Amino acid sequence: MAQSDTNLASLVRQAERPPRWGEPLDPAMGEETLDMLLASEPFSQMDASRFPAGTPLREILRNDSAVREYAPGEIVLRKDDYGTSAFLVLSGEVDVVIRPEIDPRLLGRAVRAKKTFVARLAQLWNNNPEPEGWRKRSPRASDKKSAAIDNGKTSVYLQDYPRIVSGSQTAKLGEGSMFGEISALSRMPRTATVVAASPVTRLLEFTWEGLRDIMKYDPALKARIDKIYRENSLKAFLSNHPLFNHLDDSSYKELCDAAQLETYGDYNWSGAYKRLVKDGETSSANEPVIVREGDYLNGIHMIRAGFCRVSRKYGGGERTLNYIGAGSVFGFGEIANHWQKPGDGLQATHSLRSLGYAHLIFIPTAALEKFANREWAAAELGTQLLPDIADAGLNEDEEAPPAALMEFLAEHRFLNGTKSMVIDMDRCTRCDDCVRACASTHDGNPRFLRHGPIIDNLMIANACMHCVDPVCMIGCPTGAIHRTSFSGEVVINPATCIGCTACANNCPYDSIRMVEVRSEKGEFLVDEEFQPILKATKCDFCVEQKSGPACVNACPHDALSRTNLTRITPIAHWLRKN
Amino acid sequence: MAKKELELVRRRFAGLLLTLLTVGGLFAAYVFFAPLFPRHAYLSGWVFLAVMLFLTFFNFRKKIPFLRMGSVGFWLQVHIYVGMISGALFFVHISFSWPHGLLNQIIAVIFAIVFVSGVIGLWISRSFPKRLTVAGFETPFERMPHVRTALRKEAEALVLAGVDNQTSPVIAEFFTDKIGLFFAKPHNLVAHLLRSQSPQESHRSQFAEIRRYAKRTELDMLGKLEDLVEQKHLLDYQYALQFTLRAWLFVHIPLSYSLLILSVAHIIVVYSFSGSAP
Repeated sequence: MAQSDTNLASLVRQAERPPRWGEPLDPAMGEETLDMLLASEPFSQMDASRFPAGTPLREILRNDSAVREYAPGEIVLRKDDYGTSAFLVLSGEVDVVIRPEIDPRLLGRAVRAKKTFVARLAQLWNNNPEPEGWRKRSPRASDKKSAAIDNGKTSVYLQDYPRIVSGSQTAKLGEGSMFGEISALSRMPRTATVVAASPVTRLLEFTWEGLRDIMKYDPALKARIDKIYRENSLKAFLSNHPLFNHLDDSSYKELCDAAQLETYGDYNWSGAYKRLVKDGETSSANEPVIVREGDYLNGIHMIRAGFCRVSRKYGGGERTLNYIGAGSVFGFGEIANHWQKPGDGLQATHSLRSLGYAHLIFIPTAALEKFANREWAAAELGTQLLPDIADAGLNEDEEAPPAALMEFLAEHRFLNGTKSMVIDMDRCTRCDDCVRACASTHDGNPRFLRHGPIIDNLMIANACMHCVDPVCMIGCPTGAIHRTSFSGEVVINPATCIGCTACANNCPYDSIRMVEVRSEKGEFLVDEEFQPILKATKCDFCVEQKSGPACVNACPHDALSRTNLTRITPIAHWLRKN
Repeated sequence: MAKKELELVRRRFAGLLLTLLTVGGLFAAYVFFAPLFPRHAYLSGWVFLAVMLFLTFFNFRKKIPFLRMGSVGFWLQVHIYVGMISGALFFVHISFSWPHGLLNQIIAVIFAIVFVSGVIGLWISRSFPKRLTVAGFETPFERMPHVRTALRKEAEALVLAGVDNQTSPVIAEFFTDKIGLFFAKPHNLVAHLLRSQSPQESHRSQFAEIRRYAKRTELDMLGKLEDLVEQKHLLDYQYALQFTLRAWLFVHIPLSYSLLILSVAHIIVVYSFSGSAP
C-alpha cells in the first residue's frame, strides 16, 4: 500500500485549483474606485443583500469591471466586431454612429497576432513533450484576456473625428447610459461603432458574466436592459434592413411600437435538444410551429437570432426546403406578391418552425404596408422573394444540396456552425494526419475527434463548429470561453478556465473535451483532495497560425473542409467543387 | 455529383498527361542522347538522387502542417506524379538492364518494392475509402479494440443469461465452440480485403443449423447473437481495410529511407572505383 502511495505521489503534483476570480479584469481596481462606483447609479440603487455571499456586488465590480478613460475620437466599439463586454458611461459622452457607417479602413481593426515564421517552426521542438502541459502564467498570446474583451484600449483614434462623422446620423449617450450589453449577452456582433466624444470620457467596462450576475440579482437592471433592447437594438436591427432603412425617427418609433417580439425555445437550448436526441425525437414534428403552411399570413417574421426550418408538406410528412437564420425574413414573398396580384390568396406557402431557440420580430401587415420600402420590394420581386423561387431560399444560380442532407443538417442542428469540419468519407483514408496535425499545433493533444454523424459520404466531425450562437458560452463562470473580437472564433483562455465543465456540458455537438492538465514534467496536477485539475479544450481554428487550420492543410486527400453550414450554399459549393 | 466527379477527373487527367509527357520525354532523350554520352548514368544518377530526396521530403512536409508551403493534398499529388517519373528515371539510369553487383541489385530490389508499394498505396487510398463508407459501422482504428471488447461482452452476457435460466446447453456449447473465439480478435482479414462473403455465409449457416435445436424461447436470443456476429464482421471488415491503409506505409516509408542511405553508399562506391568520373 505504501509502495502504491509512493507511485501515486510521483505521478501527481498538488496545485491550487483556479478560482472563479483568479484573473480580475482590472488588477489595479482600488477600494476608492469601488466606493465611488457603489455610490453612483445604478449600483447605489441596487439592494446588495439580494446578492449571494459567494458573489457579492462589490466583488463582482472588483473582478468583472474596469474603469477606462478615452480621449475624443477614440474608438470604443467597432461595428461587426464580437465582444464580451458592456459599457456604462461614468462621465462624458460617446457617439453611436448609426449611418452611414464609418469607412472600415479608418476603424483600424485589430488584427490578431499570428505566430512568426520562427515561432511556427519552433513548435517542432518547443511543444511540451507532455500533452496539455501547463505552463505557469504563460497563456498563449491570443488567449490573453485583454485580447478577448473589447477593453477599449484599442488605441485607435479617428483623426479629425468631427469631419468624419459630419453628415452621419449619430446618437449621443451620456452619463448613466449603457451600451454593448445586447451583443455581449446575446453572443452577436456589435451593431454599431461607438466613439468617445468628450474631452475625457470615463466608461465602466463589464465582462458579460459580471453583467449577467448583476442582472440575475437586480431585477431593475434586467428590466432596464430589456427596455434598452426595445428602444435601441430593435431600432438598430430594423434600420439595418433594406425594407425599413429609409425611415425617419418618428416612423421608426411607430414601427417599433407595432413590432412584436417572439421567442421560441430556451435561450440555452442545448439541454432540451440533448433530451430530444436521447428520445430520438429530433424530427420537425417536435419543433414549435411559428407559421403553418396554408395559414393566413398577417405579417412577416424577421429572424433576429437563432434558426428556423422552412418546410412544405410532402406525403404524410414535411420536407425541409431551407433553414434560415438571423437577418432572414419569412412571409414577405407572399405578401409582396399579393400587393402585385391582389386576387391571389394570402396564405403561407411554407411552414416555419423554430430549431432550438429562435428570437423573431413580427411586423404586422398593416405596419408593413405603411412603412416598407416598396421600391426595394418591387426590385427584389421576381428575383428571390416570389414563393416559387423561394422554395429553397436560393438564388437561381445556386445549387441546393440533396434534400436528405438538408434534413440531416437541420435535425442535428449543424446549421449553427460557421466552420464545421466536414469530411468526405469517400476520400478520407482514415490516416488521422488531421488529428496529428492538430495535436502538433496544440500542446500535443488534438482538439477534435475524427468521429461524428455520417450522412451518405459526409461526416460532420466532433470539432468545434464556431457556432453563430455558441451556447457553450452561456454558463461559463469566468468568461474563459469567448469569441475573438475580429472574426468571431470561439476560443478558450486556459489561464482563466477553472475546469467547471459547464461549456462541455452545454455544447450540443460534443465538441469540447475536458482534459487533465499536467506539469511540464508530466505529473498530473491535482487539488488538495487529489481530484485532477481539468481544463476545457476545443478547436480554436488555429487562430494563431498563419497557414490557417492545420487539419485542413494536413489532409493529403483534400477530404476535409471547414465549411459554413449556416447557409446551404457553401456546402453545396464544396460538394460540387470536390 | 456528376459535376464534382468531372472536375476531379479533369484535374487528375491533366496531372497524368503531364507526367506521361515527362516520362515520354525522358525515354526519347535516352534513345537519342544515350549513345552520344556513354557516361549519362552519372547525370541520371544525380537527378535520380534529387528526385528521391524530393519524394522523401513529402514525409517531412506532413510533419510540419503549420508552415505555409501549400497543402499536403497538393504535395501528395506532386509526390505521386514525381514518383511515377522516378520509375522511368530508374530504368534510364540502369539502361534498361539488370544491374551488376550485390549493392546495386539490393538498391534495385528496394526501389522496386518502394515503387510498387507506392502504386499499391495509391490504389488502396483511392478505392478503400469508398468501400469503408458503403460498409457502414464506421469506427476509428484506435477505438476498434474497445468496440470489439464491448461486442464480446454483450455476446457473453446474452449467452450467460441463457445458462443462468437453466435452459438447454446447446446454445452455450455453440457459443463456446464456434462463436466465442470469433469475438476475441480480428478475423478473416484476407477474405474481407477480397470482398469474400464466405465468413458471413459460414456463420449464417451455423446459426441456421443451431436454430433447429434451439428452444422456442431461445430464438430471440439467437437472433440478437447473430446480429452481434454481423456487427463483428463489419468491424473486422473496417479493421482489415483500415489496417491495410496504414500497413503499406510501414513498408513504403522505412524502405524509402533505406534506399536513400544505400544510394549514398552507391555514389561513394561509384566515385571510388570509377577512376576519372566527370
